[in-house]
Amino acid sequence: MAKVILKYEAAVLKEIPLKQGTLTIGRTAANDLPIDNLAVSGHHAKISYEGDKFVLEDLNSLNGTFVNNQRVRKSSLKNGDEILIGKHTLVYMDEGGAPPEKVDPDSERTQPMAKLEETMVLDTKKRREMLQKATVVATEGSSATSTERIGTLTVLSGKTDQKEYILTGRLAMIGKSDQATIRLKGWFAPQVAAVINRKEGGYSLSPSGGDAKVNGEKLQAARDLKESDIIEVAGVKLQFFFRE
Amino acid sequence: MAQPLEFEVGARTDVGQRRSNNEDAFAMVPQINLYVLSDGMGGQAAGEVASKMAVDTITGCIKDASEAGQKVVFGDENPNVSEFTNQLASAIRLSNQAIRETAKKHASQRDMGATVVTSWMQGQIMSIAHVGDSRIYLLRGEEMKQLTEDHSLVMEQVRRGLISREEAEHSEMQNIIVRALGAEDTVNVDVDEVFLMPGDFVVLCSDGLTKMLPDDGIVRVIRETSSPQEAADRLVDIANEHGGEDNVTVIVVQVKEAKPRGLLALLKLLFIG
Repeated sequence: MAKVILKYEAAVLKEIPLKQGTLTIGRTAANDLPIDNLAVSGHHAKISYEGDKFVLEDLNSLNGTFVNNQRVRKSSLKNGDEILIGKHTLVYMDEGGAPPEKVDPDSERTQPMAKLEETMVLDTKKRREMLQKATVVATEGSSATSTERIGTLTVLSGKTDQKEYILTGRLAMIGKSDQATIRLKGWFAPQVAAVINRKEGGYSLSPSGGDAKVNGEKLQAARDLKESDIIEVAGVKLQFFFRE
Repeated sequence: MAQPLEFEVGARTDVGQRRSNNEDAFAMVPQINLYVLSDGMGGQAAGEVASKMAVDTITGCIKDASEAGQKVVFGDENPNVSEFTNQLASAIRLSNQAIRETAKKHASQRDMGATVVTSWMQGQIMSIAHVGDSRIYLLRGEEMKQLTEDHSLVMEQVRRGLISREEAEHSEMQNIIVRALGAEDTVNVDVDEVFLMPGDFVVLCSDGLTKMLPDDGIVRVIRETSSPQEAADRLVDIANEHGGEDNVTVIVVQVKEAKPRGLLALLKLLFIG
């Protein structure tokens, strides 16, 4: 189905489906698509369905109408064309397929909007469009994933299988267990003394039934690890650092 | 090495009060501690085909890897998680392929898709992987934590700061998901690893449950029942009492300390701990 998406700079304002007939664009309220901006003439342009395609025509506007940055008097539209009217852009979208709806001025929209009870899957393109609709000021690119720092543990004293550990995994267990990342060697060492979780932006240490201390304080609950923290558990001392 | 943990499981699935067929599917393989749950979609019972395919493909793949050592690597390996977690993600990608191929062959199944949520325990580490808006929760002490992030449009809006979580919960667009098995040729699987402790409860569920009761309702049921099966049954009953608007499926896994087996293990426990 064909439509135009009205934008001001990068912000999407609304989406207008194009039916057969004419869509008038201009500053006055009498237009089908009023754009309230001084750069727009009272009756600036119109989009009509001619033959088998949509055609844009400038109505002798003061500042002109541009399609893909070229000033035009009359131009047929193709998918993706960007129409510039004053400071507003109308992006013409038409994936092809079904011809546009005939406009019947007497008919009312009797079919109510289908209630979204069933789960619907959006494809990537539709999803981008829907998210744009909700954006007042579209910010290009999603939240930047900052290059995450990697934590490391240096063994200060005690029996472990390595002198240094680089914490790339989601989980790092400290203990005697086969699954432990930091393997304790003492015969009386617990299977799992403590667990380090890697999450967005950092690491946290949780106790696991044994005694663990961070900077001399007993570890009661999960605690975020900070640069240079010293972890003492099962006779082993480890220092936490972020590696750049 | 003796397993430090034991798991007791209960599960139930129900068509609910409003739908004519059940398009949810699940599987449990207690011998290898694998749990899989899928919510299918697509007109005319195609959803049933999709969710069953998801569950069958994934359990088959993981069983082969676990028992026969036949590992399947499908898609990029993530070096920051274990081979088991990677295996689980590969199995899910494989099921996406299977659903996609089948959908292309039959006009009536063209739009079929499914969500999937999986958990696989190795010792004390649980690998989880999911696509869609079915969820896994971890109940530890008083805290019920959702371990998976919904791949729904409203959650993306929340993530981008467009709407708040409360607005998301009341949005009319809650049922729109942005990732599903069968939707595209490749699928992006989210994975994670969680350390389990005795006393924990792991709950896998389709949105048919969470649409009908809030998280603290789920906690209450688990605390008030005396077995995971009783909890699963009760959760489904309550979902139906509250309207049962969608198919509902729930798997409840209770994490317990393993009992020592044999004299040697008992001696070890007494003297070494």
